[in-house]
Amino acid sequence: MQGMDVHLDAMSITYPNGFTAVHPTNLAVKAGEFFSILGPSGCGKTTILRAVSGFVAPTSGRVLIGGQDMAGRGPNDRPTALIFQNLALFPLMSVRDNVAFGLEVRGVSKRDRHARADELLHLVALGDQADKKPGALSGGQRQRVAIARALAVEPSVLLLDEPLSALDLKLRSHMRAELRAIQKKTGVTFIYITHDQGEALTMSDRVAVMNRGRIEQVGTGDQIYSNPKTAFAASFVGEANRLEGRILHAENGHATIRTASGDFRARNPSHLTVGAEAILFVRPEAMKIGGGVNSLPATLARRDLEGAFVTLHFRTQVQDMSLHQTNTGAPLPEGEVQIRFDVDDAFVLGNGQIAETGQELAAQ
Amino acid sequence: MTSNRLLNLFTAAFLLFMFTPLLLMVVSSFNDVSPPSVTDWRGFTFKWYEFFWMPVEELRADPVLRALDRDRFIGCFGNSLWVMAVVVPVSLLLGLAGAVMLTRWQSRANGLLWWVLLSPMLAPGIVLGLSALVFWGRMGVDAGLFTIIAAQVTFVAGYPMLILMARLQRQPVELEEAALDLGASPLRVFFRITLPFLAPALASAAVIAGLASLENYNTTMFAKGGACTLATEIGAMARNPNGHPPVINAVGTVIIVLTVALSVAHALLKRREAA
Repeated sequence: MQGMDVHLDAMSITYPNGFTAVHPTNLAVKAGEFFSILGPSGCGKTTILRAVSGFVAPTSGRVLIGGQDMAGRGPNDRPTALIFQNLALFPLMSVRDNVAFGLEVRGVSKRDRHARADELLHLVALGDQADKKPGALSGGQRQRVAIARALAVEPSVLLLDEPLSALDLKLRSHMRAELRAIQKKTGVTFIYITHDQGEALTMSDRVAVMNRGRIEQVGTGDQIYSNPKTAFAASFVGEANRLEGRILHAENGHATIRTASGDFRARNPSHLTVGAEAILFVRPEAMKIGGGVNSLPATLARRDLEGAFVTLHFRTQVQDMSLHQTNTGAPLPEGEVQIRFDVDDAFVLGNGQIAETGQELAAQ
Repeated sequence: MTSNRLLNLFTAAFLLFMFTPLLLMVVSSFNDVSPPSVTDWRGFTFKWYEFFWMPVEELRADPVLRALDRDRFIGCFGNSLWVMAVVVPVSLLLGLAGAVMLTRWQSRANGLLWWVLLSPMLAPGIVLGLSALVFWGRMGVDAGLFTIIAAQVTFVAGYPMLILMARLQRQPVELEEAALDLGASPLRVFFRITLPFLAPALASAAVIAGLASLENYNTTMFAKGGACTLATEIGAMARNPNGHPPVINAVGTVIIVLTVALSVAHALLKRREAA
């Protein structure tokens, strides 16, 4: 198996009902890369996946796989394999026949394809389940059958449409590690669709954040988490406190923003100019208790135990803000205190669409 | 009286109303009297059944049976089987095509198409029979078995379509997409994925289409021209002013037994389909 690169060249997709699911998009996924497209439901990420696999034709632009234009080539004629959200295992066939299906339609003899299927089932640790029907397997096992079935056709690009969303939390984190390992072992290009930022950040080499039919940012997980380029990316990936206002000063990559809670200094990565409407973002883990620059008065409203850390919810004069603290059993602040953040731990971005419930949406 | 007892009473009355005529018909088919009766019991006999295979001399000796044209009756029954043998596969094919189109080919015209394809089931049978007669007459085809088949297919095809649609709607479209994605041609997807999934529904659709064809009277009556089927022949015999011969009761009893047997088979298939 050999991974291939995938290019979207000004590709857009408008459905017959007039809805534009994907606005003209350029995207370059490298060969052998684990690439995630992260976005809320309805943002167009599944449409991109279906366009790469050949179920939807681009309205304009091109899809190129391994440098070849895929126009006019159906899903059965592309070097891709798609793992569906509901897995779509064939219920009437045994697990072995499911895995061997791709080889069966390629005319591989029964003995050879069964041998290959057993080999793959062994790879996903299901060697002893080959004769069962998919319905008799657990969720995690079905998941692995779907992976084996897709790998059987030796695809150059494996497309995964939120395949872990039906699994429980523990199994999900186990399967994340397993998917990553399989990707490394096979060298196949993975394009992984998810609305779960945790999945995207832990598994991917690079992530694209998508919103309303547009890719807002492409980068490594670290880049997107620490240096989001848009208000949407900042609010959708990870949690962030937000302070809305207007730029007061801007110089040398930093800016002062005037908000209802006061004036604050922060990084200004997108070079906003004086007068621009902006939002200041600061991650809960960058918040500290104490006075000084960038501080504001607050009272503790609630403490949520998350395990290794605690989330402290503060009420300020204008809005609520949250703060992460390592769970050391330290005493809780009482009465009105000052909370603050370092200038370089916060950033201002142009006012734009905010992911509605970032975390909650991702947790669904 | 509690509402529950009232409901039981109603159910009992309903069942009585439905099954008493059938029971009387079955009983009178064993009574040695014509026209059939259950009050005037003249002794137990199998001869209304034996009519179909008894030797000719015996047939001529019987005052009631001698008046009947056995060969014609059997011929009409043969026609029924022949019509059914054509109507069932043709209806299954048409119904399958319609069902696949309406469930898999997403089009704005689907709502309209659904009504167009099902309207023959709702149209009066007489209209279907007459229109087949007129249409094929203009085309230069004489009324006969062919027009019977053409007329029956128009409405019988609706049954398989409804049954297969219900089944297809339960099959996730992703199964077919997955097969396509794994390299199967659309034809292969249909035969390897869709059709096996439909097999139990096809079997029950065949049974229902077969029964609909076999028992159809009104459409067939208008489309038949000089031909006959079991249903039209029984209809003709029943119009005898001196009362119909008990042979019809015997045929009716056999049909009931067959219908029950097929229904049981159908129910068993349904259960397997659900499993």
